[in-house]
Amino acid sequence: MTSLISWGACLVLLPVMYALNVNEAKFKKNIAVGVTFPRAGREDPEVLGLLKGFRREQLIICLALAALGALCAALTWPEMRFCLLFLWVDLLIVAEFVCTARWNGKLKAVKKARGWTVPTVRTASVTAAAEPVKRTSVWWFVAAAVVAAVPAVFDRDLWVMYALDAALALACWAGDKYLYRNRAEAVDENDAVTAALTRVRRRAWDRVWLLCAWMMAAIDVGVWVSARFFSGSQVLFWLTMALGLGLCVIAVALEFRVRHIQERLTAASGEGFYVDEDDKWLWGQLYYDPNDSRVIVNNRTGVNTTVNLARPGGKAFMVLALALLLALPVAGLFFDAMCEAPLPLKVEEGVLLAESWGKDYALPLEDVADAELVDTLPKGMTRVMGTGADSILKGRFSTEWGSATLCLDPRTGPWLKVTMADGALYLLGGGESDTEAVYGELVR
Amino acid sequence: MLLKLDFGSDRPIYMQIRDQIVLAVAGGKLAAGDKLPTVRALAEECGINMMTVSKAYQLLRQEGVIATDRRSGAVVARREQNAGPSKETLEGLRLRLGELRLAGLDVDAAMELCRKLYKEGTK
Repeated sequence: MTSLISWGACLVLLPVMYALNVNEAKFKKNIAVGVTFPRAGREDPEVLGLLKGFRREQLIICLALAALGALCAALTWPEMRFCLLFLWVDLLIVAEFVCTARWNGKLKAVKKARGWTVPTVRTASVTAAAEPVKRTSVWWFVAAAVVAAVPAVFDRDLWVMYALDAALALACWAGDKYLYRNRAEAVDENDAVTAALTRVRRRAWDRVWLLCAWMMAAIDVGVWVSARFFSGSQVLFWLTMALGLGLCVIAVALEFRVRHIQERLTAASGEGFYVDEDDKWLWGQLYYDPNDSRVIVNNRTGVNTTVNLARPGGKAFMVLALALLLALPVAGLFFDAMCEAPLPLKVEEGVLLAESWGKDYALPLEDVADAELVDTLPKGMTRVMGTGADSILKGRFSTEWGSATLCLDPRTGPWLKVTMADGALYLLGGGESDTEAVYGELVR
Repeated sequence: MLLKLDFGSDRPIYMQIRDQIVLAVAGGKLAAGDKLPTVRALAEECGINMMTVSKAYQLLRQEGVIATDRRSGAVVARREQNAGPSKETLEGLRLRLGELRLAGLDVDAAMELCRKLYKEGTK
């Protein structure tokens, strides 16, 4: 089930990525698939043919990856579930990169053959830079952080999570402020268009970050409300899913809206002087300009930002990103191994020990108020913090019996229900653990 | 107004900024009293060091093209209509005219060229 949900979430991303990549073939700011063309280029039959080829290849990649993903999801191969998933994600990223790079090269060749290559100059809009920059006030983010932190007052058990989310809401402000390159979106010498493009992008950027901050607040309030009033139901799970999905939908919609506006506002551009920075963009995707002192740069189209690979900070970021890509399947292997590892349950020197990868639970027997062997798990268990997979439930969960700490294999019982003197509830054992024997020792 | 900086040129970047602002003021793209970006904002916009922009502004201020104050930052300076060219401008013009003479232009051809470029600059 966990594996199916993970594959489902990844497979849903495919059409979104396909739509975003195909949209690259539309001319925005005179650019299509990372190549800048003059107006004449938009009607050139060879250019149009190549753009059609790019869209076709994107469709082939999308369908092939969907088929491969569906095949992997159907495989009942527990030792490789997440490893395969992450390998598929890596393959998706590499396939998209290579496809864009290939068609970018072909389009650049046509541009060169037509004599449309212009000497590169760095452009900077004095008019736009002189305008005061209106950004979202920090207080909107502070308000989100406060709302995210307030449930900690009423629910001390999860104060770490609430504090973390409040910190993340503030981190959204830092992301909004420092991950944005404050540079005008100049396409040509039309100051009005430059100002409009800059304003549109900046607003969209601010909105996405503010939305993220308030999502943190909404999740925290949701966790608290569901733990307080809907304990044991699936409300929290669906709320988190709905909020995450809502954020993704709004972010993608904003990206498309900004791209559409860029397309519309620059439809008449490309005559006389126009900005062409193609030689600064490797394969149309990676920015490399040793003369640019900034690490963070805006993508040429859409809302997103990227890094300047000519700066040490940009290089470090790229190395980290590549390392992460390579590490993903390895991490998947570890996660698969963790899911399949036994969960030993034993009593040792007056302590009930539930062992698991990463975190062991040690409960002193003198603090145990009650122990019970149960054959069924409570209904509507929703993970608040921790791991939730088909073969392991570990961490804090909201259940119909109240908030509980779990370290169990949910596939086969019985399980040990332990109530501590302070009221804390633990559910342990199951699977290959010798739960009944441990219960016997506890009763003795 | 769009600055176009050529990093492959022999002319230093701060001089390129200075030249283009002078031409923009002369051509009417920037009028007296128009606000210019702060040093930090223009450096961010161009992706260059703040010192480079500061140097260009300093030069423009010395030449009387811009004025700076703490409240409004840098603005295009109001110039007296008949103030006449500065000593440095005259020296520069003399040098350029000498170069035209060496290039084989007689006085009429040189004046014609100057007239043409002057009109281009005020378009």
